[in-house]
Amino acid sequence: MTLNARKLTIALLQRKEISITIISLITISFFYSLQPKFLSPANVDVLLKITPELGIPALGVTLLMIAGEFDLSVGSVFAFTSLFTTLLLEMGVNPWLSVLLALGACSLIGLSHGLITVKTGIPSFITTLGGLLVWRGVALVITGGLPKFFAMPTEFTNIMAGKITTFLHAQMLWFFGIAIIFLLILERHKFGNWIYSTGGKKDAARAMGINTDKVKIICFILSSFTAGLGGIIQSARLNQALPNQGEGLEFDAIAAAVIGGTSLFGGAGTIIGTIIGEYLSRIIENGLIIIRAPSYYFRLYIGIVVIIAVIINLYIQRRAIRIRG
Amino acid sequence: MLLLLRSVRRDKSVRSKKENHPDTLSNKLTRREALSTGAKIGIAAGVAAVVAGVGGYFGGLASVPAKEVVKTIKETVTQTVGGAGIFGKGYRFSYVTHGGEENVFWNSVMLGMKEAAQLVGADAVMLRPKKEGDLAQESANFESTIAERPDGIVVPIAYLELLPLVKKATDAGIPVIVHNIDAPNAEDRIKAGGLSFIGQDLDFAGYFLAKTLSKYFKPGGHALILIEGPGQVWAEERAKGIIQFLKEYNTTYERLDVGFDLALVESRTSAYLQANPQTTAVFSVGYTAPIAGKVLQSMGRKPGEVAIGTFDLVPLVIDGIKSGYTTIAIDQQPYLQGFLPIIQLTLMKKYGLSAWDVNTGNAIVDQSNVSKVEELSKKGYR
Repeated sequence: MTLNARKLTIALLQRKEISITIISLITISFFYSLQPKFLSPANVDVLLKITPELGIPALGVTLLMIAGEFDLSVGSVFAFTSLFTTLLLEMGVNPWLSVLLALGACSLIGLSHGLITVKTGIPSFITTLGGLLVWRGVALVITGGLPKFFAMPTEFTNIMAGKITTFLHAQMLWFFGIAIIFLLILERHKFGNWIYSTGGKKDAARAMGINTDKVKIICFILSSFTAGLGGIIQSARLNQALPNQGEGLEFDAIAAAVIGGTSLFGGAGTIIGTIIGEYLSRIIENGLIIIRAPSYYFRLYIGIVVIIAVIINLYIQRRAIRIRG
Repeated sequence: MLLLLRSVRRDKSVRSKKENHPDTLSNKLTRREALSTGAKIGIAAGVAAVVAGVGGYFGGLASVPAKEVVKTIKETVTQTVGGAGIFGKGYRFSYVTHGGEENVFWNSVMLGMKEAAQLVGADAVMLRPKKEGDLAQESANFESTIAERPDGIVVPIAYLELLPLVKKATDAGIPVIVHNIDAPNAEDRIKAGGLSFIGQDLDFAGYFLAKTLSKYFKPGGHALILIEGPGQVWAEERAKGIIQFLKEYNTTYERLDVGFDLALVESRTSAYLQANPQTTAVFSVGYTAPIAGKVLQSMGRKPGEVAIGTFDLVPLVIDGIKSGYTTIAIDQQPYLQGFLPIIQLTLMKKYGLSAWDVNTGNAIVDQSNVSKVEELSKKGYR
């Protein structure tokens, strides 16, 4: 029994999500004790509704970061995909086809980022920093800087971001659906192992016969694709495609991943951690409003949380290694 | 939670077993002990947090310590205002805006809000997005505020998509006053429940600015219009008014999207004016046109060669007018847009009076009166 207990403790401590879960619980309790309306059905519903569109891109970013690369372009791709859809709509293309073409286009963007990074050997930080400027620029050019009405059929809006019942919105199904797929890939499928080894020990991975270039390119595509999908969901929810939508999303997404235990150096990270990290960001944002603190404080708190979460992660990881040894 | 508790208990048993075997006492064990203590502290913190949360739930809203904590936090950490007045004591009002944290115009609105709140003793807070004009964030803030159920919400209709939320708040029994920017069609705002509009008639203000500035440039020229918020109602409405007059005045024009980042405004305006030296007038729908004055100055042009008209009395605009490069500015008196909604909402709450529309002004500021308003502007009142 004691052996099992020890195993359990180690297993628990080894989960990267444990520290972030504790921080989240403390945060929720903090806001709740100051203002019980924080956990009122209306507010929980707001939180559930607004998180997925920003969380979906974070899922793609997490995969890519585990594979050892960055994507700074997600915010721009987020806006580009929605605006490209409206451009196609204005040209008279069928709405459903427009969305598919736009998602295809953003996958191609990911492919181009991947190819450029892998084939020329320049850091993805640079490739996607370029992407950040290029795709925001393209978005501004095709719209002339003006917001566009996201004129989609009601069925489409319902499928992307419709309310099913209280506490259940279509965008949550997309978020958790994609999360489950990525989770299964990472933890159950050999491609998940490839991603971890590509980001962790690239040379060893190559020696094992893993095509690390291909793995990275696929992760780039997934990152852009999830960014585009997030943009479509936001636009469907707001009925608007805005040239400035998703600005700063790249840092939010990286922050969510890092808070959730993803390593900046690749090779480590989990989907569940990112989900909790993303919700924690939104909880802090929303909680500050509920306790009537000015919105200025959001950055301050999220910055502190990033640092604390990573320190606790490191601390727990080291301890877990020692207890095992 | 059960799982956490169980693991604490089991953890104890792991340690006590080790203590029974003194021969294994080594550095390693000390570390293990340290770990187990550390883990326990962590887990206990989590458990305590959950307990605190559950306790809070059953304790309900009126738990005194929590209130004290809120009070302390508000007094020491936040800028939330709890004033000395008693007229509107206990009322809580929320302002939801699109004016990003770097937008100085909204600081004047916030000052008006704070001082009115202090005057009546109400509690008021302004929610601003991290990025200027971020609709997704603004509507999320709006929804969160509705969930918090304040006694009144004050919001500018920078995007039509905010109208359904005005309706949602109204349906929830929260009075909504629209300030700064009205819906392009006031009927839509009234239908959604927005009780009054406190601000500037934007379309007319644009026309008024261009017409007033036309004293300083001849017809038949070319005008540059800087658009700080492309696609946002306030910017487009003012631009519409400016363009309407320019057409009547037989002046060609070009729109340039710039945003509020002054470095970006400078680089774009500079490039434009280098390429188009025939420009006779520069307008901005926000407050950045004085940057064009600085650009012209560095190009060696004299004050008055190009007429420059802008909105809003921020320090940049005042400096511009004093230097002579900026010709006129239209002040819409943001302080009033922050101040008056609190007064209206308090009277509505207290005596059941109705809200009323206010045009906060088409005040012209030029070299003749700039020094008078400068002092007040420094303090954030103009």
